[in-house]
Order: sequence, then C-alpha cells, then structure tokens
Amino acid sequence: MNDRQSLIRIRKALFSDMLFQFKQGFYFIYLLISFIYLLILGQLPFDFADIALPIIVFSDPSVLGLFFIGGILMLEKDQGIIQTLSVTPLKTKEYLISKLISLCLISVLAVLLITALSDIGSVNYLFLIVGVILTSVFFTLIGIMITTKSRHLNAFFVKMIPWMIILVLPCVLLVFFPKEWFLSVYPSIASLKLVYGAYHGISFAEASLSVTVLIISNLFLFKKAIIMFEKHMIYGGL
Amino acid sequence: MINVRNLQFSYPKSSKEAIKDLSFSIAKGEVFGFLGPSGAGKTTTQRLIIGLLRGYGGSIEIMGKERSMWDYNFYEKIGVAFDFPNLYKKLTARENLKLIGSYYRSAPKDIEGLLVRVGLEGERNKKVEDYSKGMKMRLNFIRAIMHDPDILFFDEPTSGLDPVNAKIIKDIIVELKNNGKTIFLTTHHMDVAEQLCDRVAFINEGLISAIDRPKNLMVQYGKPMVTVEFEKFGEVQSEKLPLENLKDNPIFEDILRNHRILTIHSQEATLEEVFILLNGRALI
Ligand SMILES: Nc1ncnc2c1ncn2[C@@H]1O[C@H](COP(=O)(O)OP(=O)(O)OP(=O)(O)O)[C@@H](O)[C@H]1O
Ligand SMILES: [Mg+2]
Repeated sequence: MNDRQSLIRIRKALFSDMLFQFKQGFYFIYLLISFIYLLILGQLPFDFADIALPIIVFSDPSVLGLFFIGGILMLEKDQGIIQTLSVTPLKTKEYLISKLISLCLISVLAVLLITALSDIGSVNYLFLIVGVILTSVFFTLIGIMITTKSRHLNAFFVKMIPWMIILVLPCVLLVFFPKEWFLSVYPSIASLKLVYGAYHGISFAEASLSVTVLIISNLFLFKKAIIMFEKHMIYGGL
Repeated sequence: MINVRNLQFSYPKSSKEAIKDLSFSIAKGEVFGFLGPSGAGKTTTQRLIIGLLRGYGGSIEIMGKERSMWDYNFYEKIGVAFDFPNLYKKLTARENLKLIGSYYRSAPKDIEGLLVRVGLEGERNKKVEDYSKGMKMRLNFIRAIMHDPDILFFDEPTSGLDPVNAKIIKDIIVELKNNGKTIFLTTHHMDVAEQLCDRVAFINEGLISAIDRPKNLMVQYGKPMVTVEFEKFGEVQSEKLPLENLKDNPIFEDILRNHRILTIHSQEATLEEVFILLNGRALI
C-alpha cells in the first residue's frame, strides 16, 4: 500500500518535473545542444567520429547531470517550490528519484537519437542504455550534492570546477592504459568504458565490473544526497 | 490538538536562543493567534511544529503524537501557507494547484471553486510570474487549504492584501473554523487578531507574556470607564464616567435627559496597548 502510494507520488513528481523543465526552457536548450553535437559529428572524418561519438555520449549525461540539475534545483529553491513541497506528503527520496528519472530520460532519448542519426557500425544498445542511465544518475547525484552546498548559481559553478577535474581528468588515463581493467573501479572511468564499449566492444566481465562499480557508487551517493538535501535545503531554514 | 510544553530552540551556529521557553495548547476547532514584533520567534515556533526545523527541547504533541515521532503522513493532515508565496512562476494558478495537489491522497476536489472564492477565476490561466503580490498571496492561501487538512498554519495570512481581499481571507478562516478546523496563525496586525482569534498569545524574544481571549485582555488591562460625547448649548463636550453604576450616575442621567448624545465609548485597552504594557515595547 505504502509502496504503491510512493510510486504514484513519484509519477506525479515526474510529470511536474517535466512540465517545469519544459516551461523553464530546459528542453529547448537541450535540443540545441544535441543539434550542435550532430553538427560536430557530421563535420568529423569517419574514423574520428568513431571515437568522438562515444565521448559525446559519455559527456552528454555527465554535463546534463552536473549542470542542469544545478539550474533546476536553484530555480526551484528561488521560487520556493522546495519549501512548498517539503510540507506535502512527497518524500525527499521520491522528489530526488523523480529528478534522476527526468534527466535520465532526456539523456537516453538524446543519445539514441544521436546514435541513430550518425552512421556508425554495430552498437550494443543494452550496454549503451545501461551505461547512459548509470552515468546520468552518477553525475546528477554529484550535481545535487554540490547544489545543496551552494547558496547561488554562481557559487555552484565555482564549486563544480574541482569536481569536474576530479571526475573527468582521470579518464585521460584510458588513452594510455586502455587495457587496465582496474581503472574501472573509478566510477567516471567505469562510465566511459561502458559507453565506449557499447560502440567498440567490451568483454562481459569488464562490463559487469563497470556496472557493479556504478551501481554501488550510485546507491552510496543517493543515500548521501538525501541526507545533504534535507540538511541544507529543508531543515537549514531560509 | 496541539500541546506545546517548555519548547526551546536555537538555530545552529547561533549562540542566542530563538525560542526560550514556550508552553501553550490549542484545542480542536480553535483559531489561535501568535502576536509579536519582528524577530519574536513566531515563524520559528510554527516551523518547529510543522517539522521544518529539527532538534528542539521540550515537547510538541500534535494530533496525539510527539512531532518527532510522526512520519510523512503528517503532511496529509496539515496545510501551511508560508509568509511569502512559494509557487511555480512559469505555470498558471490552475497548474500550480493541480501539480502540488496531486501529492495528497485526498486530491483537491474543487480547485475552480477555490479560485472563484478568492477572486482569481479571471486569472486562473495566467502565469504566476504575472501575478501581483496580493494575487500570489491569495493563491498561496488556497494552495494551503485545498486538500482539506485538519490543522492549518498561516504565517501572516493578510500581509500585502488590500482590505477587500483581506476580508475574503478572513471570512474563509472563519468558515474553516466553523467546519471544525484548527488554525494557528501569526500576525502583527491587531485587527486580524481581534477579529479572528479565539485566543492570542503575546510572544516576545522567545517567551510568552500572556495568553487569553482578545476581549479579556482588552478589558483586563483597560479602564472601567465610558467616554460620552454630547452636544450642550450647541457645543461638543465630553465626560469620562466610571462604568460601575452608570445608570445611577447623576451626570450621566443629566446628559441622557437634557442633551443630544453623539458617541459613547467604553475605555478597554487595544491589544496594542496591552502588548506595550506587558512587554515594554511596541508590536511593530
Ligand atoms: N535561519 C535562521 N538562522 C539563524 N537565526 C534565525 C533564523 N531565522 C530566524 N532566526 C532568528 O530567530 C529569532 C526569531 O525569528 P522568527 O523568524 O521566528 O521571528 P518572527 O516572529 O517570525 O518575526 P517576523 O515578524 O519578522 O516574521 C530572531 O532572532 C531571528 O534573528
Ligand atoms: Mg515570521
């Protein structure tokens, strides 16, 4: 009974989130970004695009997760929506799950669209979709945590920079050690491997390791994000 | 309905106690008013009871259970209108109510009726960002009551409203009370407190200095006198007379018999005066 009510509330929250993001112009910005990706891919010589596509597909949910969630939460905070929702039966957990799903959905749709429109050989769609979902959730959770500690959007951008470096820079290691499986214990590398592997092949063992690493990190971050969100965005007062 | 005992609270990172020691009870069907100057602790107390601040001392029993023992079901039963409107700016009044209302198990039934009630029917499809402050306050108010909660918390419900719209809100509060709802409001407007509240508590610097019916306070701290204004030989004159045995007072008898009375006023104190008397400071 309780689970059912919870699912109903998440569904309603998702509807609200999508309407909010649409009206605030997020989808429009998003369409624009996807269009730019496609333009870039179209300009690249074929064997280059071969590498660029997975990288775009990796960076898309990451950037979306990190930046969009910051913008969305700041707008909701400024308009007092978070305060209003905090006195409804919608739980923090449900509120955050809905945010995660709303951003996952656009990432998956965009990645499928970009992949379909660019002409690349065989694609493992299962790995691709799983990879994009896990990547999106990972970066969105990081974005939520940074937002809860930021008073304004500017503060958010400043705090983001070190996190970007910490998360994205180590991915460069893959260029030098493409075969080192243990690099996958680093969540952002696990993400990149999974997505890259969806286009260029990946062993089942390696894919499993990446998925496991990401699921564990995401569960841990989710718990942490709930605590931080309640502490700073709800009980912190105004 | 609400039973607060020796409530204490300090904001984190603040050395000063925002709430020092509060005790009061609110009965079912009562309109209870918190009256006090800015910074007295009105909003803090409400937020503690609502559950938006944690880590209080003392006890808050509400609907038969300690506040800290309640789960999210608590929010099915209460309605809150904060002191400034909190709504989706880019959405219309109707969309706002639909979306926020959808989280309740008893989803709001008569959104249109509520919009009509507060005079927003013509604006229902306008984006909230194009609303005036008063329109947002009215929308925010019906947002708080739309799911038919048992206890309502209003923080300055009439602030920013013109007299006509303030009257509409006050009328709805009376109607809610008549339907058995329990209402806890804060205000620094005397007239709101006087007209609406069954009982008021004066709060100042985190302490309560008096709790009573507004009338009782006004009479208790007023003087038992009447002022009579009358016309005598074409001139307006006035007399201050003790209330006691007024009918046998020869001066009063003379005025009644021989002159035209213009006004008669009893000299009870205003709530404002009582507040100053008790706290040594003004309300605003
Ligand atoms: N978020 C906060 N952090 C630290 N101190 C706070 C915070 N909010 C309020 N206070 C302090 O707590 C005390 C009570 O404030 P509160 O907001 O409850 O007053 P109020 O009676 O609602 O005033 P007003 O009429 O201005 O709304 C004040 O001294 C205030 O400075
Ligand atoms: Mg206040």
